[in-house]
Amino acid sequence: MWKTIIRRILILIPQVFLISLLVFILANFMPGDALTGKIDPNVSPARLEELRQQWGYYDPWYIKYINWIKNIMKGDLGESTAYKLPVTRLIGQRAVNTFWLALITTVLNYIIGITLGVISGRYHEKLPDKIIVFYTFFALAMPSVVFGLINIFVFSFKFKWFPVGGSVDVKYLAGTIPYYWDKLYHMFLPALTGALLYTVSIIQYLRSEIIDYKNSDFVITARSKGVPENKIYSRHILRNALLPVASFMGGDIASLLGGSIFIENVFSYPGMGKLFLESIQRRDYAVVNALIILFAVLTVLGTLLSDIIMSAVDPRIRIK
Amino acid sequence: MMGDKNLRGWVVMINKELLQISNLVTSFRINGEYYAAVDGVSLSVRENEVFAIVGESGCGKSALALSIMNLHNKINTKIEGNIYFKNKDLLTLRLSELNSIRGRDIGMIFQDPLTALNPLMKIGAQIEESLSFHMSLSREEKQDRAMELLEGVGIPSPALTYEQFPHELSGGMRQRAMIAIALACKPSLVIADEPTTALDVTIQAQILELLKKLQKEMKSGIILITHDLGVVAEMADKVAVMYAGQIVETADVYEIFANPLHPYTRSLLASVPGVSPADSGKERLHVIRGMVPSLLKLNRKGCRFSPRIPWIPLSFHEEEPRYHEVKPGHFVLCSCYKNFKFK
Repeated sequence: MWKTIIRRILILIPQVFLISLLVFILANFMPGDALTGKIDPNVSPARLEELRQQWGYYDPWYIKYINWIKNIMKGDLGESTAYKLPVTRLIGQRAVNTFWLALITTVLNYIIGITLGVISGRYHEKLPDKIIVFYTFFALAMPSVVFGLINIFVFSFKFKWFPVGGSVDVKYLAGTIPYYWDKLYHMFLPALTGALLYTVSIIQYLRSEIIDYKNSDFVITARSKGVPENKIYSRHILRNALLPVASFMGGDIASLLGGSIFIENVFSYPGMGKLFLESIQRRDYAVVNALIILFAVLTVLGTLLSDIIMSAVDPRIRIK
Repeated sequence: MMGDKNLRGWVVMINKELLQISNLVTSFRINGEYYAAVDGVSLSVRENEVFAIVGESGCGKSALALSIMNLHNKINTKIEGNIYFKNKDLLTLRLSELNSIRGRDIGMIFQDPLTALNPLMKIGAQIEESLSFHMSLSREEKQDRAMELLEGVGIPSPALTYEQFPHELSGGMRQRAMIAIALACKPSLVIADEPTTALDVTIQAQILELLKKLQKEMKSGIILITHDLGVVAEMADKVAVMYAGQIVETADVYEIFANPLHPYTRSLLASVPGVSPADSGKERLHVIRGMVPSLLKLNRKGCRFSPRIPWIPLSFHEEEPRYHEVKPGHFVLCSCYKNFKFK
């Protein structure tokens, strides 16, 4: 198993190289640069031109690419032109926020998804199932932006249960316990909003698997042994029905770690998804490129994680 | 002395009734309407008796087998009639009461040992599961019993198989494990639903040998469901022939092979190479015309086999077929047997 993991990580190198090349070329095709938006009357067009020369704007793309790679090798991902901060530090700050948001979203996602999926599958075609199926269609059709805004309006604006946005109140001192509680408090509504929408696929998969397994041969065998119905569900049906859900787990976690662009923007939550969108708008290429490479690495690691999870839960799958 | 015909008949006679099914009707809901797959079946199985139910695919054998322990999908199945087992009507029991009988008093062996075992559970755990709901045994005792069972069903290395998953075993080994599960609590009745159908011929013989051996040891009753007359000849004490949800003929095994009466029984025997003495000179085997009618298209009036023997005039069949007792214990449905000839 360790061999596979190491091999997968080694395959990551050419993959990331290709992605970086593609991303870099595409970024170069985009019109405009970091100075396009500067309409500060105090800076003369001649000075802007000078800066462009200095930053290597007129170099051919491959020279820029080689320089970029050289710097990455040294651990330097460049500097954000918008924030005047090294990209590593900028992403580092945002990544912490996104990581916690992703963690809470994932936990809520699976708690809600598995509970509703099991209820829906077990009481197939009865009232609880009908309600849950209606909910899944509703959530599937609901854009996350709209749902986020509704939640903000209802829970933050009307009831004032949750903050409207941001990640922490400025009045708390970093590192203290109230500070972390406040972070959690800020995270809850965006996490719940995300989870309530992403959980639909878990519910749907689990539901259809449970319905399939309900009268499958080995479940009938278990019933013929006199296993009580609750145990039939927990030991026989659920474990088998969770396999496809487990196979998506790695990918789901990876994509959440990449940051949710819509949720973070709606809740103005300073995570990577929000940073990504802002950076594209500001032509902050150093940040955009670094983030895309990061997403690519996360995706590959996510599939690896899925394979590891699958081999842990399904004895028929063993990675050698 | 078990092989002795007369002595064996005598043993059967003194045995008590174990299971008595009367007028069982199992219907499935298709497009909102119920269609009977088992239509008025009555039979009784005694202790230490192998009762074979034979018939083509789709004649209701498996539907009958699943009805006994009420294992059908409740949403689209209706079961009527009485199934008495040890003076209890299984169809009226609550699920918890039924669960205490399932596995403990009645064990079931299924057709396909690959799909009938949970792919995510070790063989040992699947055997122990049955023990843990019916017997109060310690963990070690359960494990010992599971090993003992695995050895009893002829698995060469019980300790290894105990830790294995179903996909790691061959078809024959899986069916042995299945039998170990069914026999875990020494049930007094075993329902074997085509236990050898999914296996190749050499393994079939081994499994039958094993079943026979275990049945003799445990003196339990077996309901053996099969479409293989060879299996019937080898295993059964009594035989019921099923067609389109009804038992068309029932007798003890010697009588069925020596003196088959119902046209369907005779056709079945004639279609097996070298079983029917009348057929031994023929070069071509008999083929029964047509197919078992589907549940939706089945004509439930009159003799259900009549469409498949169209050369027999309808006047030879009864309008409402009854059972005729031609000899003690030998029953035939409908009077058409009296004038039946192969074409």
